[in-house]
Amino acid sequence: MMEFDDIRSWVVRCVRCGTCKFTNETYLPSCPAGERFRFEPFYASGKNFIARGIIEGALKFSDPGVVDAIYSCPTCGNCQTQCPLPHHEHLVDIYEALRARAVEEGAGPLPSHKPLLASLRQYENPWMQPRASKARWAKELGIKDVSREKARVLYFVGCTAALDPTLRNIPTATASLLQSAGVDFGILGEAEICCASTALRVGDRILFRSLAERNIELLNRLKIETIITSCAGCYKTLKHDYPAVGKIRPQILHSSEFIYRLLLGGKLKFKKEATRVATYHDPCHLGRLGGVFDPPRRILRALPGITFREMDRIRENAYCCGAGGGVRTAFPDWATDNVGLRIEEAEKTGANLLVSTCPFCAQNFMTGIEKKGSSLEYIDLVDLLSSLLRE
Amino acid sequence: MEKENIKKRLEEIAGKEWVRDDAATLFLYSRDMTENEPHAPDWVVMPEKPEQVQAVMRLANETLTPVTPYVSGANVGGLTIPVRGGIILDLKRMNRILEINESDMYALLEPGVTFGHLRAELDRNHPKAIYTYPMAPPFTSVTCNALLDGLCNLSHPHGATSDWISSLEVVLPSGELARIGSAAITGRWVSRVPLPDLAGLFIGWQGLTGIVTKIAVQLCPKPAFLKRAFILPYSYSTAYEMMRELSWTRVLDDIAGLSWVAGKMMYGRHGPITRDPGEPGFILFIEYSANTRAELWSKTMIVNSLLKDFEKKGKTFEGPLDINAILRLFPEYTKLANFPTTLDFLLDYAESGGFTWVGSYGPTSNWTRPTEKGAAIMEKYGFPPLFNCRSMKGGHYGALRFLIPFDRRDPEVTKKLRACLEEICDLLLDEGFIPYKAPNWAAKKIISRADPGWVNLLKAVKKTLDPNGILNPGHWGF
Repeated sequence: MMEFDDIRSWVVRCVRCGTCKFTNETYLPSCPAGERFRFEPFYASGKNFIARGIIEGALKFSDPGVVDAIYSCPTCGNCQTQCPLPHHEHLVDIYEALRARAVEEGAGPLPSHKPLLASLRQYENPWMQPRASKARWAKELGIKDVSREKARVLYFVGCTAALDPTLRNIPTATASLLQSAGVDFGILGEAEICCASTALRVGDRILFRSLAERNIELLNRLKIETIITSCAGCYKTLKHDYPAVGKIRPQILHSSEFIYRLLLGGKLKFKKEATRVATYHDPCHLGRLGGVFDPPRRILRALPGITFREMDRIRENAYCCGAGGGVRTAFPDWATDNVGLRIEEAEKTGANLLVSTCPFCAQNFMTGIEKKGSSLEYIDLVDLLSSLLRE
Repeated sequence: MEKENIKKRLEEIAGKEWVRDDAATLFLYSRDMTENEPHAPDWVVMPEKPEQVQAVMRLANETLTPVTPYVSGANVGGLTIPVRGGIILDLKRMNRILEINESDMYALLEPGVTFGHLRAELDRNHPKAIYTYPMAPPFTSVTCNALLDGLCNLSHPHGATSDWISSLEVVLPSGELARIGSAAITGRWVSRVPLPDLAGLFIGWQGLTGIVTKIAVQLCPKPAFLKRAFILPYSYSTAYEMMRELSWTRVLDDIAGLSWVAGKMMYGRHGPITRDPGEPGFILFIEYSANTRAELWSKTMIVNSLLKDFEKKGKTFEGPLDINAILRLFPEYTKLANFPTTLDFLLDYAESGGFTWVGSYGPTSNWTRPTEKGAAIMEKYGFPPLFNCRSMKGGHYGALRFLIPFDRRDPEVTKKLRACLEEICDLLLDEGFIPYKAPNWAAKKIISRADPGWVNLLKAVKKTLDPNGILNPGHWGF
């Protein structure tokens, strides 16, 4: 997380060479916004120059097109992989700092983001659901409530997996896996506060900080050793963004990392096999921006009966599904069209199963698959794994 | 016609979502990486088909609206800055590779196709064919590079990339569509001969005479064996003598050079760069290919024999150093050895996003003096003497480019830079070299020295093709 004043020395490094626009190894599109809108302001180099224009006084946030360009970006960070110059690792920081300044000046976020933020303030989740709904999926599953009982591991479910009824299989499968492996874990249930990734991504840093501070205090108070998340967004926010606000004592792992350790330790025993061809989509906040590429792949390769095939753009080069950074909220049609491109890439592998590890990507993929009438089946990694542990 | 009406008409032509006139868009298209003064267009239009380009040109003629073609804006000459405003015609959406003909060895492309995309297509689906690649970021337009006489890694046997053009499809300023070369007669895109070479009406014109909507460029067979080496001469004069004599052996696919500064930049040196005592002055890059190992061995013998002769003459140099071996030790050198390349080590030297040059073509018999004088000019103005050169078309002429990464934030640097560029440009012209991709200020210098007959012909061609002067006005002195 970078302050607006800190981006000055970085934005000037961009020469607009255009290398950010495509993947260097495969020469395929890297930028969902550029791919959709094509005009220069929508690429990384364009946003850099807009930042530069604002810093130098040539542009204002209130100028037409400025806010549109800044918010038409899923903050997937693919440009960071492609850009060869030293500012490359700060590109997403630059966009987020621009959004934060836009919010400070009253120009951001986009109108469609405002209900999310209002929901975060009122319900501590962006989905406009009462806090009590967050524990609903866990009823009668016999899971510890870590605000009342001690546990070594906290499963930080995240708002999307907990509150979207179409994604309930993610938390239930995760809990089932942890129970099968005998892990001493619990959840926070209705006491779980949103990680506030949404607030950070759309530029409301005051709201982000207030929720982050409360989360940090809560998570440190619980005396747990490990926090695991189902959500790539929660993972990236807790692990990589919270340190700018405060230190979280427990280690933070994505569920795929934790489960991979369980598999290595022989804690999970497969009871059947799936004769399927699977491909894997790297969620941007887990892979490129979180550094977790291998555990999901190693799990997939270990699953009995599964043939694993890679897409053209993988790992650091993985093409974003287009859901993040407030894009799916503000530009739902674009997000759906964009995930359609990724679905086509997955189809090209010959897979019939599209596996990923992020509830937010899941929502977008499921919408996209339905819209395209694709024969691909989307499944979260834990759901797939869990299904093979049952008779 | 009112601006709003023009916008409405443009939206009817290209579709509403492909016309923009918001401040952010106009800002982005008003400037490039160079020191050239920004100037905003009034609209940016992104057509998808030649018919839409034609319609835009008809509208522009009717309303006397300037039109500036654009793909990536990375020409390093301010050539896509719309100095009289009007329409920027961004051709990015016209990015289809229409045909790769392995039998007749050409690629038919739309103008938005980049070197990266062409290379990817050839590598994936046509591994027996190659094109020529520039020492430039991969996402620059093949068409623009060819129309601007770019230099590439096979320029030594084949010349500037304009020489690789076999046919064109062009939208004229009037909106009429014309085909050039064999495509006009037989529908096959194989050659510009034996016809009046009308391609010359569009090559080197910086988009002043037409908008190319299709280009056929020749492909080459991919050689079975390739050898690359660095040679490090200690003096500029030895380097150039070596380049010329190696060129004349007729065995090379490429011979190019970079001054010693580039080597230091590649290892991340910023700020003042000085040449250490005893340090070679040049990095020469040579590449040659063969169908068989025996042929490669023979070529290696020819190169080595010539270098031995240089040794005997007392010329000092290091090498030849096999590049594959060097790359194993120093992967950084990939940026010099593989094309296209990101050139990040050059682009970031000044840490502030500015990059410019004076590039030129001229007689190889007079390479050394303008190089030495140009380097001295750069150092006088406080810029490191970064330049590169390449032997073109069997050594019949050569490229000489002085490259300056600079600090865009500092107006004093920009002022100094302009003076430096002008001085180098004058020097090059004095020494028989002609700036290519010439920015407006350099084009004026060229025209001021040109034969009046040439200038009159230039003006007559422009007037005939573009009587209303709507295409890219303000460039090439028009």
